[in-house]
Amino acid sequence: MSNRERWATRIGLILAAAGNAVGLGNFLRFPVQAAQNGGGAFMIPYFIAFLLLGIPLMWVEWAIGRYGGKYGHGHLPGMFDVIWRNPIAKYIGVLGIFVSSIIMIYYCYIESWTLAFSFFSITKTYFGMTDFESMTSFLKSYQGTQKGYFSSILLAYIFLLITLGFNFYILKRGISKGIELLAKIGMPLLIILAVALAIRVVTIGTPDPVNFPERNVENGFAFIWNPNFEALANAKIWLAAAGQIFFTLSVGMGTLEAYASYLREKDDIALNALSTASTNEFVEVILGGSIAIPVAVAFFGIPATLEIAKGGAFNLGFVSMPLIFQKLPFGEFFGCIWFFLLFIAGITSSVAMVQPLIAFLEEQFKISHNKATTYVFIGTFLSAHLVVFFLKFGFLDELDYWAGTFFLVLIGFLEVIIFAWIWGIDKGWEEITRGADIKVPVLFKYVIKYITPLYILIILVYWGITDAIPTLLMENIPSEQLPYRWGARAFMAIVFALLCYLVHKAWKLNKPRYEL
Amino acid sequence: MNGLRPEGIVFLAFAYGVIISLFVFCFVRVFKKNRELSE
Repeated sequence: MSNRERWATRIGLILAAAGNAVGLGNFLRFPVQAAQNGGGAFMIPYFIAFLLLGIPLMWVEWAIGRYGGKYGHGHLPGMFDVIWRNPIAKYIGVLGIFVSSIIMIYYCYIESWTLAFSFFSITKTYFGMTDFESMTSFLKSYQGTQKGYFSSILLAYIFLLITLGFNFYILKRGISKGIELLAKIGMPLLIILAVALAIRVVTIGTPDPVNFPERNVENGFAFIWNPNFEALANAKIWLAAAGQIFFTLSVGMGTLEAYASYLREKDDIALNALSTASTNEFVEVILGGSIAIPVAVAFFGIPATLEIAKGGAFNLGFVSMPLIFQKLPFGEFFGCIWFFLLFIAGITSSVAMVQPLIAFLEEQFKISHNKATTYVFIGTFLSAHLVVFFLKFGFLDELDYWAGTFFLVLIGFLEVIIFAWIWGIDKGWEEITRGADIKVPVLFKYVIKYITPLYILIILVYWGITDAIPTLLMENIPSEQLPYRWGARAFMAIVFALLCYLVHKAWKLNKPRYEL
Repeated sequence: MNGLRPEGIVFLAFAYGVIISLFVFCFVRVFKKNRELSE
């Protein structure tokens, strides 16, 4: 069997996997989704999806990863090839490298904004932009999509270089000295910062009791938690909850499998996966739900917060929050904390995104870790230029829709089918329960085989009926964006074809021999 | 909006309760197993 690098400690592995799952979405996407989709009632489909979709997929991915790692594979093409001895399996597995690599191309740019805004907070750079219009203009001029406070995109470019450099440094140090060490420092720090911010938000009370007594933190929590039961009759709410579970746990990306591949054959995966999921939920529901939306309601009121939520996660994170920090005593300090915690959430996820591709190059082409990491970062750096310079033309949005949304669900579906139906649920169940430190309820064996694939299939069919045609034909896209969005699709097709070619070449050069 | 309604408090308490219980259960088990292994 292979002699691969291993995680140094169990807690390091759990924190690294939780760091992979905890991202910007925990603090920005979840509260927006909850507020828009029935408030407290959203938590019913959310928990059902967590139980029937999230936890089963976590176990499936950890099991595939540990099993693939036994044969020296830290990437999905190799893992699928091991469990499904069919020539097509490795090409389906390419999706697991493709998706994470594409997401990394734009995610690292967004991550760099958080670092920049942390700097802008402590230096009070945006202080003085006291309304939505001027703050939006500040953000857009930073991104280079509009003239304004910043005359060029140079600063955004510098912060991108710093962010990529930091990611590169972490990954170059390897699994235990790089990713694990980052998680051991970053995750506790993230939780401490988030708790500090949540306490600050909860103690804000009513900022302007004379003029706006209804604008208070309690109403902020009420906005998220008071249930609207009528919303439960709407299929879209159930799909939104399932989607949120998918994205928040980072399933369907190939990254959890990559992390699990560095486990030993008899190491536990059942408890590790559950610990990862519970840490993510703790950060998302308890901390993420207690910061951005409650404070937005306290300062702007419910109608304005609804508008902010409709404007999306970036609007909430990079426009509304800076406006609030300007109104708080020591706002520069809290602003710095807020954006720095987003940066930590981002970097613990982004280092996971490139790991499958690095592992693939290292293992299949027998090149050194340093070289593989360097090649991947050169590729990411060059590709990121497309996102930086075509941001206003929807290039990032197009990549995010397909790689960051649609393909995650598709991969989740394919891997649960390959795991439970092709490899066989009996073998799969044995893999999940081997070395388990908890007793996994046998009910989940049937959930994984029947309920989870059916659940994902319903999501995909619903997408096919309601969204597929208008999305594929870009019916609601402004005409000036069309060439760039088609360009983004062409770019993704080229990357996918290139990865398929590399897989083909790798297997030709070095056909794996498995002792099954 | 006039603050958290009773059903809102129930939902909040339920969600927090489930998540904190799961979180504590998992990490107590992890640390317990770690201690057993080190002994």
